[in-house]
Amino acid sequence: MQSNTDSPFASGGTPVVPDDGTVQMFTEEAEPGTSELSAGQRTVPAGSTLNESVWQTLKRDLLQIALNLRIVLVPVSKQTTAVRALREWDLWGPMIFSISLALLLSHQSDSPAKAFSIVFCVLTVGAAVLTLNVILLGGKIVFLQACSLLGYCTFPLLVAAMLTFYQSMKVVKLLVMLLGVAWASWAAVPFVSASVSPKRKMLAVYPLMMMYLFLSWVALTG
Amino acid sequence: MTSKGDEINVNLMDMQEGPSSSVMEDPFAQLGDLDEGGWGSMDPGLDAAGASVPEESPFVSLDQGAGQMGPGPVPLPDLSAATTTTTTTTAAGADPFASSNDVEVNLLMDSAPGGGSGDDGNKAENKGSDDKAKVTWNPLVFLKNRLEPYFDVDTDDIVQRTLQAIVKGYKGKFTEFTADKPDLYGPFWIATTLIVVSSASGSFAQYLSGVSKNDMDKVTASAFFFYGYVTLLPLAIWGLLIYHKKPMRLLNIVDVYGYAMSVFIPTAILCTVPNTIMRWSLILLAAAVSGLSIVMNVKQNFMEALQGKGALYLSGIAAIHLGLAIGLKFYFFLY
Repeated sequence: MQSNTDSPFASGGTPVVPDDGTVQMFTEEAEPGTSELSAGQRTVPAGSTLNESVWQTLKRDLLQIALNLRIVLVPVSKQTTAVRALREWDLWGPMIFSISLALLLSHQSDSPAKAFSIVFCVLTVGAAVLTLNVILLGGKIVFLQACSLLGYCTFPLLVAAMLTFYQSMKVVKLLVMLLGVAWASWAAVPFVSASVSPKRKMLAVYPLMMMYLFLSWVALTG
Repeated sequence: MTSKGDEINVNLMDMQEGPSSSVMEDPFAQLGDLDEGGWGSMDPGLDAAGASVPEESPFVSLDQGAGQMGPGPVPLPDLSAATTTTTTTTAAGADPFASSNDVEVNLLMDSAPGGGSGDDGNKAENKGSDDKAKVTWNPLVFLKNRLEPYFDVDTDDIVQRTLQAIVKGYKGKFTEFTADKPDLYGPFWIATTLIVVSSASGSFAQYLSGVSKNDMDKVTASAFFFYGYVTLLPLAIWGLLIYHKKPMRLLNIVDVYGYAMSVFIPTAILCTVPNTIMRWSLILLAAAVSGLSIVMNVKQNFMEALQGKGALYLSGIAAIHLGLAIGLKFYFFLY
């Protein structure tokens, strides 16, 4: 988990070339699909994924997404979350959640295209900007891994938006969205605040809360 | 006493290599020397970093800057010598606290950070000749290396700077307050907060008065207003000041604008009350407080450049600020 370079982007300058010929950047600790994780997880032999069926590939990735969701959102203990923080990160999950949430929130809006683009941009660019914020404040995290974690943490908002899609009473909508914000913050805030020094904790956490509240406002009014 | 001075030298140099037999005596001996002569009795060739510094080093920075004793506070000689010789981001030997009248020195300071809005050619040059020798082609690492000095703030710093800009803005001392560490965190996140708060309050105010219009338009329009205001107007003022040969660091101007805009955050929240008089008075009060802060903090350079006509520029700045506030009121809180 601990990288031996200071760079949060973990490229190290020398790309690793695994057996199947692809070149991976950001290879420090997280090589999706080729990890040596504990037994009971699926292990993928590097280099032989070319011959498997499409469904098998998709199934592996979907299982990975579900696993990451479980790790991020239902941590066994606070320690586990802060330390392990998504060893096998991927960006499929965050992409699916961003697009789904943007679609949902734009559906109930007067100007769907604008709403979609705003929500999608806030989710993707916002994750990148928040991660950059933590890095610039002195946090030692890996960039894409943290983007992935923040993307997974928006899943509760997606659940809340789905639950309140047909709800017309604003108060109920507000309450459910706030519950979703609380769950997402419970997952994301410990990671972010543990990455920076204690004197800067608020500086790192505040933009995160602002993003979640903004998204719940969009869900509320649309 | 010379032998004790030698002992002190040797032990301080050797401290990393493990305890020596005479360590027990040395802390007290050092204190004894201090009692006798203060700083003057210590070897002037030794400074905090352990690097060798020429004999007259405590006074070098003042001599070089003797012709340009700015209105800022004069720093302690030995501390500034120790820090400025080992700092790579400030110009060599420059007094960090003076609002310098020297065009050359300030332009050097300006070209290094650029406030994130420097041109690419500048950045490419600096990348190759960076003192820290961190040449990188990875855009993210490059961003981190360039921007990290401007995010070196704690929560307490941000709060203090906001208070300094709003409550004590009329004194015009904001630039001196943040002289050594201007930051980019404040302006960026205050502008972003303003976008979120003003679009939410604006649509809530509309909801309260029963009108239902496009809320998403408000988000994009407020992003355009606030990000544009905090970046373009400081850029214009910076250009003007360079033209009139009294340059000010761009980052400082961005800071002044960014922290002054923070007064609009509570204003926007309070303006959801559907009372017209209250809204207008809140907006005008916020415009007055922030406008005063901005004008007072850029006033000095303008007044030094053009004695009487500087007031013309300042009133222009204030008028634009008032225009922004009125435009915000009409756009977000029309109903």
